[in-house]
Amino acid sequence: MSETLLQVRNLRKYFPVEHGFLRRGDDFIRAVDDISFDVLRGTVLGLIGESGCGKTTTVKTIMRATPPTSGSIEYLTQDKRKVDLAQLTRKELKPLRKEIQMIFQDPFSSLNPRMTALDIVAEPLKVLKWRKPDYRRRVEELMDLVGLDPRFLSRYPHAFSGGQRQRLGIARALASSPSLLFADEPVSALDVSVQAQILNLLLDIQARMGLTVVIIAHDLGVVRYICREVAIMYLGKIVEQGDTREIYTHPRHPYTAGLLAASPDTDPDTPWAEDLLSGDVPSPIGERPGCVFASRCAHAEERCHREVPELAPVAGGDRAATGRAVACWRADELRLRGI
Amino acid sequence: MEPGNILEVDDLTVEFHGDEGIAKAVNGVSFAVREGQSVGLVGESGCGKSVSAYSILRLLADTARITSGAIRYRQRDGAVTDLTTLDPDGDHIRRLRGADISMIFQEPMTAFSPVHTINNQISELLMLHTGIDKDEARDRTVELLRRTGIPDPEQRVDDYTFQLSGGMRQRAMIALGIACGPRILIADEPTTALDVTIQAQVLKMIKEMQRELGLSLILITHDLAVISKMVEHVYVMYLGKVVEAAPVRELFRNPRHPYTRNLMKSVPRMSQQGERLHTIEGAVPTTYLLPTGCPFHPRCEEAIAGTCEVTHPPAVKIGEGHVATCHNITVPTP
Repeated sequence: MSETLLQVRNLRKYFPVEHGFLRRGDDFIRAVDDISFDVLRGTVLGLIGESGCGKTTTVKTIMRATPPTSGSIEYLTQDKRKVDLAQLTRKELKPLRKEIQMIFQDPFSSLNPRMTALDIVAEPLKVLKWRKPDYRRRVEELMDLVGLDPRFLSRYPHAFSGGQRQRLGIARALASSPSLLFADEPVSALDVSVQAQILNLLLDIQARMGLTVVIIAHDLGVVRYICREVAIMYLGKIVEQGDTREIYTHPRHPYTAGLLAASPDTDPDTPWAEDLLSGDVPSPIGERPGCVFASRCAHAEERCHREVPELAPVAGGDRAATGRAVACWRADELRLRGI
Repeated sequence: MEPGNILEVDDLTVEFHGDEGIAKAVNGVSFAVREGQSVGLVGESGCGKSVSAYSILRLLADTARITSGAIRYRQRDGAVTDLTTLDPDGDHIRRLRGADISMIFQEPMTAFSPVHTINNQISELLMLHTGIDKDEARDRTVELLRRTGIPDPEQRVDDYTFQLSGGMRQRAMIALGIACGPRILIADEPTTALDVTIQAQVLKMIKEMQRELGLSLILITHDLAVISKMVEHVYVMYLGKVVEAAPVRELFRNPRHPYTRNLMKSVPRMSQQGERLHTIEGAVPTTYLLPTGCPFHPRCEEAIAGTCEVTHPPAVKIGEGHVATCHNITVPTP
């Protein structure tokens, strides 16, 4: 079994809500609220959830783009030290930045329009003080790796199509040979036919370089295709986690079942949108006494509104062996429909 | 016009004149909508699906020109009007907008005015088209909001649109769309900006509304999954042309155009894992420089050299209502 590259424990990120300029900080948006998960080396984990569920904040917090409110983020460095990213200072973090990289959603706004392809992809290497002949060679290799013609190096982003820009973003992320790659909705801004090219590319690179990838997505088909494991988030919490196929065929959390029921397949004859979730995601401000999902859950009982369910191994399952866990009081009795 | 059709778009061509030249966004598109029918226009960016729809209501930008074709609309009194001949700022088209043909947009935040309440915006339309007074218009607005599934419509009616969630805003947009009892509803990517659970709620509501009111629906989307669940007849578009058209079941069971087939194979399915996704090489070319011959030939694996880049393929009739434009399709003569 492969080693644990990233171990997140009880991670919280609260943002103060400002009511005018005199009274501030008496309420919090609980963007990420006590989540824990492991990422094994060489695997692809999917974080799924709707807008506002905290998936992007989780990633930003792990990358220390924003400091966590509490919790630990244990990471195994390339020289095999165990460090807690949550505790490191900016100075201590700096040498680790090259090991953890990110691909962004929007290939239009994430590339500087005034820089050439060469400068964009070489940026991380320049930070690492590489010299021009060296980084030029490296960038040519990277362009080849992501399927771009190295002759395009002197072009500016506007001369590339959406899919090609996303390839540039991937090349830039890979420049410093990271061990952990975050991808925030890497294909949702692309056309369907181009989306498939980028997904295949990500999978190829992941397999070839043994990369560890955490991918944020809202499209369940994309996640099914690319991730062996998924974690489903709702209002700052992980509500269900485990093997992708297991979860899709036998969801144990009502929210997972609701997401699956809402996602259409491309078959005009299969039923769709039958057991739909009602209502909207509630506000993430303030403390909720019970389960985060209780207000929209068709199966909620009195207890669900009172006590918070922990993310626990499903009955008959061993979390260590299957990684399958669910946060629902009624997980053992409910029979939910998958696909 | 064919009997039973409410709208016919016939060989429509729309050009945009810009600094970089002339872009043929719509290049000879034809489709028809029967009364009460739901029709889908599906394709990737640049295929001309939105421009086709905007042409119907004559809502195109000043740089756009309809250079050929006709858009025939059968009015309530049975008279047929060619919408392309109307003055886009004239009385006639303004009487049709909202009252006969209405449109819901992708981003309700930008489609609504942020400085007017929902009541202001829907009541204005009602008073303009039906001549009722303010109080009655307000009551009707509350009723419309209730019908589109907005909770507490009596309170919400005085909200500004930024006070509503994305899903609620789109419901308000639909309320505005159906306010004056239109006969055709054009929905341009109505749920693309919404989360999947909210998307399902809103689409289901559009479908119910369409059935209840006997509306004709033109749904524009890039999402094959949404199309498969929402409409009866599908037009697949690529680079300003319809490349394949068929009843929805036939299209998904028996796609014949290489573009349609490859597009379907490149959608990651919920039920598959591990296999590589099929891809279409390259990207959609720019509409400033259209390929000669078949618009899809530069990306087509089955292109026949010497034919596909030279002549535009004829429309081949494959079955009842099923047509594809491809040189490679041969149909056994019955």
